[in-house]
Amino acid sequence: MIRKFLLCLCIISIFLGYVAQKVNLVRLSYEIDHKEKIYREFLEEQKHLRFKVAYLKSPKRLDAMMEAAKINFQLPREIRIVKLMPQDIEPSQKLSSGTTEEGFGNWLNWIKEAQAKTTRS
Amino acid sequence: MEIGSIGLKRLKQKQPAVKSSPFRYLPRPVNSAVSPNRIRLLTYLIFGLFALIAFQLVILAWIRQDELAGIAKRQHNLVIEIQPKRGLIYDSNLKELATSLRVPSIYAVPRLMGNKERFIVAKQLSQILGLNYSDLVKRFSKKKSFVWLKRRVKDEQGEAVKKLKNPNVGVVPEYKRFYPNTSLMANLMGFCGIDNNGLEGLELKFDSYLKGKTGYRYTKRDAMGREIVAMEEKLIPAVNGYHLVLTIDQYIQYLTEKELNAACTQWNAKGGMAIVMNPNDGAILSMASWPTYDPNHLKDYPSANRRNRAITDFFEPGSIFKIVTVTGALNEGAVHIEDKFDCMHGIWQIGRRTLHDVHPYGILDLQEVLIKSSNIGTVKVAARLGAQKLYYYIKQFGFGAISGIELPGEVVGIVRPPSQWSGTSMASIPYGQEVAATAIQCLSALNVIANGGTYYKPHILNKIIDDKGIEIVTTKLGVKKNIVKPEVAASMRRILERVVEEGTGKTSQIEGIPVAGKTGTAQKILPTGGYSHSNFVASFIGFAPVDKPLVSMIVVLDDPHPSYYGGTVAGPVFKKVIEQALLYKGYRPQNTIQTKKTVQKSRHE
Repeated sequence: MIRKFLLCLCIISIFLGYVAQKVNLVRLSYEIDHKEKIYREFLEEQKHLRFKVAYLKSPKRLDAMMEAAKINFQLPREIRIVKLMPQDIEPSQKLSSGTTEEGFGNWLNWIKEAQAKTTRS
Repeated sequence: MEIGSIGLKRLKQKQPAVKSSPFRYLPRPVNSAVSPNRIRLLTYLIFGLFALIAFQLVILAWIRQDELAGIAKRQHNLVIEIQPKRGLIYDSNLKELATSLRVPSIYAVPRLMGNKERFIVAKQLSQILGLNYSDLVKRFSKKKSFVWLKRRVKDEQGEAVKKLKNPNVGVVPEYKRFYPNTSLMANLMGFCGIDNNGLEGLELKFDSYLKGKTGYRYTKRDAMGREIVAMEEKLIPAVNGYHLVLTIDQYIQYLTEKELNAACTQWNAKGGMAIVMNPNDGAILSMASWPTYDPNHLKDYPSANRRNRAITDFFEPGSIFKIVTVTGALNEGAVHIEDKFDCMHGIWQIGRRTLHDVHPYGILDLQEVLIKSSNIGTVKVAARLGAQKLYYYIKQFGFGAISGIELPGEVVGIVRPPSQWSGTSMASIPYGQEVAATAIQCLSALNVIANGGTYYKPHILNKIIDDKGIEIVTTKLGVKKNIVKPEVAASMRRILERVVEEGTGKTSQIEGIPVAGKTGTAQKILPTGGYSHSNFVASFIGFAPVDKPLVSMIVVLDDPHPSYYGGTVAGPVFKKVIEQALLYKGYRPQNTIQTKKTVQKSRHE
């Protein structure tokens, strides 16, 4: 008797479990759908904002703003190019280009530290 | 005798069986108050009912199986159309020129509206959407199950309709094309229709790439009509439209449109067009038409503003066509740089035709014929070249044929073969009369001289990419090599530089940047025939810098007045655009002062 009862209980549990799984599946589907809608909304908002940025950066609009603010930019009549030449560094700091310093463990040739190359000015 | 034993005894007694009765083996109640007939009747009824149920089951599960399964499918199955996103259009620096945004569209279900409700809803919607009240009432009275009221409206209007909370009026999102730069490049890009299909310009030409492919999702829905994502059966994903990357530079386009607009307004022109190109590969950097329109507000502009004049309008090129004549003659060796031509002091009678120059010139060398733009000198150069050769070079330079640019509506122009020339054609065609060309044809021809002798097919499309930036289509350069010899092209560049320095093109001089070009002032043809003496097409065509040209440009103004000379009205447009464009591209003018300065390096470096 008890065995039969337990058997029935098992069968019923299995069926209940199956039904619960299906219900959870459907509930999860609704949640996924909801999240997807939110994601699509965010994508659309991003597109709207990118459009707004493109509009705000449009040359016509910027020019009109400069004109309204009376910012009278002129084309340069004289163009100067100044080449900046870095000064020679001190001898103690000099490193010949292309060499690497040997780091700790000098006697272990396979241990070397990579150093950034410096070029002589 | 005991009762139990009596009952048992009687039970054991066999009852007389009714042979034909199906119930003969059923135990019969002993001493029952209910008559056997009633029991029999009840049994028949129950069996009959079960038979009916079985019959109905057979009908439902077998005979009507297909019909009912179909109904169930329609109720539970859901096919969702996945709309593809229309591709974007970018300039050469990947700045967005056209995009699609979701906007609300309003629909109604008149069939479900009551008689009184119709009038109330019509009044509300006419206020929100700006529609005619009586039109709405008429549409609601037709009892259709779905009608569009207004598509692609403003977000505020969509919100206002939603607030009505009327179950018979709905809002559905649809995509609409927007152009963030308003009228910039409008004639080039075109616009889309109500169903987001391209109707003009690039939107039309590349519609098949931009629109993408609709997808479908086969899934199930619940009793409330909601999709059950987990029960999706099949998915055919939508293919979003591809994106166009143009050769156009947004900033150079803006410069071109701004200066063209200013010139057309200043000189009261009927129309204008301008193109800037890279002469070394035929890439179009800008293409402007005037008047133009704002594709975001299409209905506010006349339809005539929509055409792309640079490819749809042809005109008699006038003096800028002399470049073709002189280049052809030089290339053939029919003339040399040092050759002299008698320009008959400005008047030359050829048969019934009298040729005039703007100023009376005497003897001019070949360079001076172009610098001073002598019609008579050019006709004499053409006479040495010959009609057949002249026609050959006209065709080689791309006139009389479409350039093949990736835009719809391009016209061929007018170039008749020598067999159809009249006796005076050789006195007209050499300086740009009796031929008609588009602006793109003229500039593409000039590029041959600018780049040293190669004809490049003009193109506006750089590449087509997908959402991930993978190139789908890359433009291949259309090249027709060796139109003219490099040394002839170099000579022509020098001559055209002198046109700007000494001749009619002085207004296009740019300080520190050597410029080459040619002015054109062509008489317009009267409707009654003959040439007008008061209506002209003014043009300037040129490139810079002369030694290694980076940009070339043509400017054309239709019927400017009071002044109509190409040098006066079109030359300044060229100067302003090219000067700014070259600086923008990083070109250093010749008057750049270069110095060196020593600075101490920081310890932190």
